[in-house]
Amino acid sequence: MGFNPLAEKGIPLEKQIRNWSELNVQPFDKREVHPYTRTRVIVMNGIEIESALYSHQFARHTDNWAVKRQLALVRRVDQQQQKAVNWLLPGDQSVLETTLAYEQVAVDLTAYLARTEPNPYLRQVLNFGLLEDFDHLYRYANLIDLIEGPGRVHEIVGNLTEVMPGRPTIAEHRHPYDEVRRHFETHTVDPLSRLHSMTILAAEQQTMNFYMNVGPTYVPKLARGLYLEIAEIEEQHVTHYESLLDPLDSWFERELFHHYNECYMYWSFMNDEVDPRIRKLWELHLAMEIEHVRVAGEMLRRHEGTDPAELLPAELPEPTRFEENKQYIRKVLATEISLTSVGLDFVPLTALPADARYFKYQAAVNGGIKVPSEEVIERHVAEFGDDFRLTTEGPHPIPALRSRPHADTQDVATEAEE
Amino acid sequence: MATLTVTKDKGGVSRPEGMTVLEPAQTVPLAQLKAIGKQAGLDGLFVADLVSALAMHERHSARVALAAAEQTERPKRRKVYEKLAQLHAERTGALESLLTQLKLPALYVSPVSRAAGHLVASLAQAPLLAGSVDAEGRECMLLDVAFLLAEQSLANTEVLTSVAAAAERSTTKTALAKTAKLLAASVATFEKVRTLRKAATVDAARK
Repeated sequence: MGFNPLAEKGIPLEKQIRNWSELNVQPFDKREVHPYTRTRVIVMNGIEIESALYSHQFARHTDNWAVKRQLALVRRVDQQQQKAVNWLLPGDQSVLETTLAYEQVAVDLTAYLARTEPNPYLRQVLNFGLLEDFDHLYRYANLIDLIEGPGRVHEIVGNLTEVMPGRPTIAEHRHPYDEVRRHFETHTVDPLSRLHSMTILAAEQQTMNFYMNVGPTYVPKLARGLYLEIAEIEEQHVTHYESLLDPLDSWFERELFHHYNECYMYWSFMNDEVDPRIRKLWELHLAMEIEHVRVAGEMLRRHEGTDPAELLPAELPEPTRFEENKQYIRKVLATEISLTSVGLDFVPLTALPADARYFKYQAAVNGGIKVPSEEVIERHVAEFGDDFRLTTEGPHPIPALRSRPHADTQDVATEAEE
Repeated sequence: MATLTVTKDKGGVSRPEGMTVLEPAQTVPLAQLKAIGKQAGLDGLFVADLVSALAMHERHSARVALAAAEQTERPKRRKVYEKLAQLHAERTGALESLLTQLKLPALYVSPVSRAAGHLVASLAQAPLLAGSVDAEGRECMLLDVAFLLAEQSLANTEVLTSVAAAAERSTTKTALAKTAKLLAASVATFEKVRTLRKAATVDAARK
């Protein structure tokens, strides 16, 4: 029998508040930490932030004292969990190093979710975002090489994630109308698809917020420009992924699903965690979230007459894992790199008519200027003679994207035509 | 036994429309839906979607009545809500059985049934404003919600009876008529909610 949070006993809510000392945790050593421990920390930070922000929105839609105070208490604990998790990041890890880790999350989390996603359309949505985040890792890797010197990328991502071009960032800028997607249907959705959608949305939303805030902390104009440009793609990705959720779910149902997903993710990561101290933190937070699921379930029962056991699956699905996805990513690169989106659907870039709004939007943001995501590669080539890559599985699967010092979009379009 | 919360695990199936996407295994083919109208001279797709929507109304209403029973401070009112919850659940079961008789999955969720469920769920959001309403007002609000759902159930019974009457002789007509008759047998309880609401409002006004 698998793990069912509703059948487990958690830590009573009134015993969950921790003092400043407990929350001000010892950070990990950035030189010693396993890259996937770092990515797990980043994911859980994003999951907790989403849960707290959702709870705030819920609270703004009710003046029911019993509901508001219960949300406030659970939210305070979630906020403490977020601090305990995010404070694991060490102060000597630069913003760009953290950025590389965020993009490693975006690559290996998205790839794993896509590989295990039961719904073909949702898998397509994940693959589409995967190739864009894969390219962001490459652009930031070149930036960190320029700003902080060699060796930083490997120190962060290890040999677990390859670094090379994905769908070129310059080609990712699409009209907002083309970022909206279809959504799953709440009565028929596989529980794993719901958890996947919530997880990727939380991760991408945190990435968007992170870049929005840290971008202007850099002095070099190129760095400021690259953060700005990629932050705009993260906005696209939040639009892309939030579309997947069925708006039919009520406030109370979504409160329950948030805590259920937190349980699922802590439980998933607890099983794989190699750092015993951090594993204990995941275990502690799981025990807290089990109680949050119970509390959210009680509110759902009282206010909507729904038995949480009727809404949730009998046990948690298979865990979400960080593991190498190199061959999967290479396969998706080879088959889907030339896609763009029109409305709700994905089409080859070459299929767009000349007057497509894609080209108008491209002209509006890229036209007649140096685009930071291209400039960073040009600057790297000018300084070091080539762009930065980290490959372990051979040359890039798209011949046109094998190391060369010129623009990417033209090559991708040509490749697609071939 | 009625299913008050439809999920994939319990057999929830649907058909994609506009913004929704489904796994192929959860998709009911259009031909299967259209087939129920063939002999009856009806638009099978419309009728299948309608029956699904009627079931979803009853399903959500049962849950809302359970929530009202949980929230009311008045023991007598609690009994009324519990009775309504039971009745809505029985009607859900009857409509799920009708879908099965029509050779459709009992837990077929039509696009319009999503809207029917949302309509009920929207009414159930009223207690979210309980903090700015006094105790008497909160009781009135719960009763209003139960009343509106009962009225819709009454109207839905009439609709199903009329559609059955419009159908040509067929197994579909027989199944529709039989279920409509079954639903009509329980309308007296819903009509009493209207009376209760009127009386409760007058009582409150007199105090």
